Amino acid sequence: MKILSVDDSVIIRKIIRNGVELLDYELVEAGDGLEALDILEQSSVDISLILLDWNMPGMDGFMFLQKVKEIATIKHIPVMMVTTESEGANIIKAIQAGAINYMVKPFSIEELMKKIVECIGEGV
Amino acid sequence: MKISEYDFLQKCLAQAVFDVFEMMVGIATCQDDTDGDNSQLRRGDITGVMMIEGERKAMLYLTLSQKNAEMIVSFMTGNDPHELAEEELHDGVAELVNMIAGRAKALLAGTSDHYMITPPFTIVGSQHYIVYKKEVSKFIMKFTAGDAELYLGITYL
Repeated sequence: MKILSVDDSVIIRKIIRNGVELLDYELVEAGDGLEALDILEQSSVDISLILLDWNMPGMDGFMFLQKVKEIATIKHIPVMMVTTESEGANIIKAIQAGAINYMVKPFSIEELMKKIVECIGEGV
Repeated sequence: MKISEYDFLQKCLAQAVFDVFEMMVGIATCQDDTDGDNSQLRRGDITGVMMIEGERKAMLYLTLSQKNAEMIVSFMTGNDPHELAEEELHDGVAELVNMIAGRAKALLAGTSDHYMITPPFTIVGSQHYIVYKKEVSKFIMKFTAGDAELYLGITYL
């Protein structure tokens, strides 16, 4: 099973990779929303969860979330925000747009793993 | 800005540094007040910068030596320092200041110091420092993380 990390920081993607692989999931990476949409449109890529940053150049995380929820073939994929945005209004906005969980950076690897398990259960 | 407001902002920024380093780097940081003068130019090799905008516009930055950046980013990722590309070091320092700004923003929610943040960027160059065209209000805090020294500064523009 695969998890897609959408974050413009290569270092954050590396940290997320460490947690995801400890859960025996495979990580697929995208540096922004447009790259992530390209990956999701490939029918061969079966994504179980999207971990989504908010502030990114080009298509930001919120725009990407809205786009995902408009596309019939991918709107079922759960999305968890992983972002420095901590304002309550933004958390509500993301949940209303379809995110199922929200984690504020900084985070520990244990917190990341716990949140992933909350979203989709233990790895294979 | 009054002295007490400076104190509160500094406390929130210091707490943000402690939290970010504990959670993302896995090492404890200490604030080092021993050298007193917080107005001196601090030289570094990699500086992560964020512009912040609230009641006033300001620049928040984190300055590190190349060696200390390698050590800290290697702790963040679990990679050997020699395996890290330059781009990864720059990204790591930018992301540290991004998370420090974000964490402090959360701690300052509901106060007059609350602010909006912009995407981070990095200034790179051996022993660089920042010069302003005019005298500006600023403070710089020194921290130690293990053997590494780092400087967090805020400058009001």
